[in-house]
Amino acid sequence: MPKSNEPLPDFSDVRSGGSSTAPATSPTETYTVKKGDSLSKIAKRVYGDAAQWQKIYAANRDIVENPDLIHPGQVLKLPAA
Amino acid sequence: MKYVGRTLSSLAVAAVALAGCGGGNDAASGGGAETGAAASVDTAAARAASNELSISNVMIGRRIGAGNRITEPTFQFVPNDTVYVAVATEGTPASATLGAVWHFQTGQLVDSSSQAIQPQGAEATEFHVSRPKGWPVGTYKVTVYADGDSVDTKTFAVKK
Repeated sequence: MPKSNEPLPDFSDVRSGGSSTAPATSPTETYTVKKGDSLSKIAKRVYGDAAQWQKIYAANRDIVENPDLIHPGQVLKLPAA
Repeated sequence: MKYVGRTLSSLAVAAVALAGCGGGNDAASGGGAETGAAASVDTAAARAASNELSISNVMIGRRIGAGNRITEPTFQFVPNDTVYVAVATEGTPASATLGAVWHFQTGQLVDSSSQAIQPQGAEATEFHVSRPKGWPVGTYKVTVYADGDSVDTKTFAVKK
């Protein structure tokens, strides 16, 4: 472990990528989170049903750890209704 | 479509086979000969043909080869290495989203990426990360997600 007085490393220059033997699906619709948004508000706007927030949460578990905590600027994948 | 583990898939295959056996005397079941053939279906082939995604293997290493297979598996890297994680899947769901989230030992997010795919059976999907300045020495972990569910975590070290 680094000593507590050491600065945290900056990983902003990390390069990443990937590929698959499977064909890619058509691009998924996305939504960029704005200030004051919540998953239920987005679900209401997109699907007309706030209870569908769990669908958005399930599709974005890789970037949303806490469904009650999303951040402006986050780009969420929107599964088909 | 949802992720199911290999065990659940195997149970489902067994359940289908048992259901087929139970209907051996029923004309609708197609007769005893077909029931017997169904019971002998190779489970790996059945998993590959399932419309549910299953994860058959997750490997980590520093080299990757044809078919997105890890050719040099390791948990010990040096700072200039590219780190690969390869996810082998089976099943033919209409679509699936695989993701890899990388963290440093401090809990810092190193990288997060995902791929939306249309699996046609047995497939292999790889994610990789590199850092031009070199990785800080320490311990890292990568968590693999399938349709939002965490399916495996690999811990690895970077040493000089």
